[in-house]
Amino acid sequence: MDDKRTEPAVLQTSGLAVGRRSGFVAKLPDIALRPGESTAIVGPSGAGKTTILMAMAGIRPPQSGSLSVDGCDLWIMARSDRDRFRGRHIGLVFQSFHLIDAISVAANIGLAAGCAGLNGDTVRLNELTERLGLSGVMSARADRISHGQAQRVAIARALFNRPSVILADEPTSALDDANTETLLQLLTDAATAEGAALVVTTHDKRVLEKIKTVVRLEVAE
Amino acid sequence: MNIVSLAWAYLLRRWGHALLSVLVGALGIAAVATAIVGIDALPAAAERSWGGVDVVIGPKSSALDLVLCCALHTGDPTGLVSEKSAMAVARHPLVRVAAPIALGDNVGGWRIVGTTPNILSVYRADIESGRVWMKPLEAVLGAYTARLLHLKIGDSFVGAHGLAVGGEIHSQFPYRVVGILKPTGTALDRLVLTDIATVRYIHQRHEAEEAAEAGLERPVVMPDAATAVVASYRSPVAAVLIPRLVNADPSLTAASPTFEMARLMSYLRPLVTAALALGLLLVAIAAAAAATGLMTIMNARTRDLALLRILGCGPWRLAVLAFTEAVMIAMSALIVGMGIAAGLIVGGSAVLEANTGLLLRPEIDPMDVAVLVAGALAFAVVAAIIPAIRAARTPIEELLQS
Repeated sequence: MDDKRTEPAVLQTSGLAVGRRSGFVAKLPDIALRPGESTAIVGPSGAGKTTILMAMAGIRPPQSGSLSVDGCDLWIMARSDRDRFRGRHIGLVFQSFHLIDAISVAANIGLAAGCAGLNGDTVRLNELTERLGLSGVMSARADRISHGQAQRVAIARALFNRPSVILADEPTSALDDANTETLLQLLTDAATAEGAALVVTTHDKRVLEKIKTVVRLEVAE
Repeated sequence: MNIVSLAWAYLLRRWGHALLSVLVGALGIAAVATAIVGIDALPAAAERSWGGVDVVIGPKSSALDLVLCCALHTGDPTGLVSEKSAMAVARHPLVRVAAPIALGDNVGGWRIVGTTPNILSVYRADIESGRVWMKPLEAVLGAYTARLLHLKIGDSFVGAHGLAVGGEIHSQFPYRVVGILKPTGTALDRLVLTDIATVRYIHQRHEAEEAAEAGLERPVVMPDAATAVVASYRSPVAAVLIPRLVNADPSLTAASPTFEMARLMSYLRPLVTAALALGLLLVAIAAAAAATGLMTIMNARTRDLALLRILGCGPWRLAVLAFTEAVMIAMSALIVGMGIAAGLIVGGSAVLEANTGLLLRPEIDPMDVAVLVAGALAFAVVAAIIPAIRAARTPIEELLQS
């Protein structure tokens, strides 16, 4: 426990705020997450949870504040560097998983390495798919697997490049209780096993039962 | 998984649309390639076929018909000429060698040509086995004719009236094979050569018999009748002088194979240009179909593209994805199109050889291939420009907001 406290934060925000089309500004209280730690960002629908997550992923520029992942400030990088950095250091899990139907499960997972300019690692692929129970569907096309398997493929893809930070955008909003429980267990277990910081945006109270550290978005005009 | 294998997977996923683009493009490329090859191969085949014949001296008629009939041996005779009159001009010092020819009979559809041994010099042919004819009813066969008729030295055969199969058999005049020519690549390969007096005698007798059967008077015959005289020049100057001398005789026409083929090709050139234009039009339609397909696909694939951006692909790599798909379609069309063109050329060569005796030996010019490859790539790039820009500008936020 004490050792963990001495580790540097892999994700740190300071005064991060993003502008919304409505003219409101969503402000994120400062957070600092070390490897294996997780936090939930909560707020009602339309509060700007997804927008703040985009800023944390280096997709949408913040209005103010700063953000560092693995000690690098995302928003002072050139766009192409930021794209590559995101691919290598940040894993993203989406609400509807977004797998590419034209290719196999294995190719969907390996896409994370290809897009980030890394070589595919078969050992890593086998290790992840075995851990997530996907070994039997590796060659199946992505549109021919079950919803639960698609969830796990999305998580495997997010973890493939051993990211320091996993960002999950309302991953449980369309799931029933059983699937929510399974997904959160998978995410938290995976983050712990991989030593990655986990950030989940949500307005789902079921998530808060699993992730105890919570920050609430502040909305101002 | 890299961009190339992803592009391939996307193509396979919408294989029907991709196949249509490939087929239309392939047809266009095949038309262009066939026209390019044909425009050179056809005159070259004709030039090989007429060998060393620089001029055909025949009766007053179409010069092109004379060349087709008496130099290439593909057309019908246009009339008769007096051997004495024609040879009088052909004995000019600027003429290296000349030979009269008399047509009118065939064996199994292969022409029997009454002539003199000088014709071997005109076509630059040599005897492979046996000797030249020295007596009436002795025959020398062209290499191809001997093979197709399964005749060898010492064998006998009978001719039939006319130039096509089905004429009256001259059974009382059996020929004996005394020689077989080396293959020359000229029209001579497909002929049966014999003494000109033999052909004249058989024909005059045939006409007399027909007249007697019909109760008519014995027809008046031209004792030195010939279909034409073929000659080879000693000097290029002859090409100007000899035709002038021939045409000064009111009963003669001089026909130059080189000139007539150039004239024929000038008639054919608009057809070749039309084939080229049609091919390019098909390629353009294929490019437009590919562009529309790619555009539609890129629109439908917005979320996939946004995902790739989120996973670390820069905008230019998404553009490369669109270009890669277009190039894959273009290269597939090129390979299929070349295959179709090869089939057309092989099939066309067989038909041409069967009907005219012309042997197409298409030559593949590396420059032409390079132009076709570059052209196909250029069409692919043009087709992919707008889809590629669309892909590169994919709004990355859409995935998270959807």
